[in-house]
Amino acid sequence: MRAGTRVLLVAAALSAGCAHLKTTDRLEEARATYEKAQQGPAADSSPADLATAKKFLDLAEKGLETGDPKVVDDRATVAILKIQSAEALGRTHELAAERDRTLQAVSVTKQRLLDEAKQKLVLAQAEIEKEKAARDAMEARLTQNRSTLAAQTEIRDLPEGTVITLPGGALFQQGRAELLPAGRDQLSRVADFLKSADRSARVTAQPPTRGSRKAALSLSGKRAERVRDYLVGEGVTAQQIVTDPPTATPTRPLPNSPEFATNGAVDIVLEPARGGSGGAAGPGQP
Amino acid sequence: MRRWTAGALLSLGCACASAPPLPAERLAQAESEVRAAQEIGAERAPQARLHLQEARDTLAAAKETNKDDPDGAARKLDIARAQAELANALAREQMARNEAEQAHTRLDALRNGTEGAETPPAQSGVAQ
Repeated sequence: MRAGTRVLLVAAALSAGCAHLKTTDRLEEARATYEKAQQGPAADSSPADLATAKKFLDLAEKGLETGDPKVVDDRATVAILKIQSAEALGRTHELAAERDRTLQAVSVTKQRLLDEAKQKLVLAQAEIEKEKAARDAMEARLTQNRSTLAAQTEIRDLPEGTVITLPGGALFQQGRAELLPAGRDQLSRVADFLKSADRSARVTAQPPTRGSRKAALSLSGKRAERVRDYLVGEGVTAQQIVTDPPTATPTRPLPNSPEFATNGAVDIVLEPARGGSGGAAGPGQP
Repeated sequence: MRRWTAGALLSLGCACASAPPLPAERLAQAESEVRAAQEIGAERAPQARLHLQEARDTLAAAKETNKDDPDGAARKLDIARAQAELANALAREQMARNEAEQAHTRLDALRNGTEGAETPPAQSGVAQ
């Protein structure tokens, strides 16, 4: 080989060794990753981390001056990892903000539900107070009506209910089933009592113990019907009151008085209150 | 003269037998970042676990290649550190995601009228 050729070859080799490195695939990837990150949440949520990542990208760019692709690639790899970290931190900040917003909504919703529950409670308490006042008023009327009634009739609290016993003579002429005017007045007070009690009732016409049993049976049925019809006419609901079957003999002991023996009696039995005692105004009252 | 030659040969022999140590500060930083990622629970988040393992592997590779390529090994330390940092960031992201989901679950439970069945408070660490 001639000396001139040798010189040319050495010069070419030196030139190739010092050739300026333009880029590497890894560096291109780092640049693209950074550009993408600039459009993502990291730009707003973690700009400082992204700026740090950019410094590492710049370092990788500077690595081109060494002409060593390994140096460039390693630095580009670090830059990519830093950019990915910045992106992860950006997403983390967004998630934390979302969590805080949701917890705020939880707090607001809890408060709203609590307020609603309180409002419902207030309304329910008002309703209960109203019902209690109405019940107290009804009880007071019932007690009053019972007292009024007890002054003129016999009222007993038995297991089957409150039994109001009206002497037959107060309502009917002996052996008859037409109501006397005085009897109507008495039954009107009974009707007031029944209406205030708001409980179902039965009418039993107890026959006189003297005289024909056949006539007594017939009279029992008619008198019970008359009394029931009158009470319904006075405002007691028809569904609230029924008549017991006619009876030839008294179904309950009659007070020991000749009046009952000759003209019988009418029992109006008020069913016991649900879950309560037999007497509307309590046992033991007159 | 013979003494001088022997000394030079001995020096050369030592240089060939032992590699220069890895840059202490960069090594410490990389190892510290790996530990931090482990402590925050990177093992329990799939993506974070992946990068944590890469960081460990890169760290091991840096130690292995230090003898033949000290500059390359030092750069590997930087890569290992960045990988561990990414594992750390991904673990934190997973934790934040879990907390956001739990908050949503609580809100849904309240809105559906099943507030009694609220989920327990957010757990520390990350989900599997």
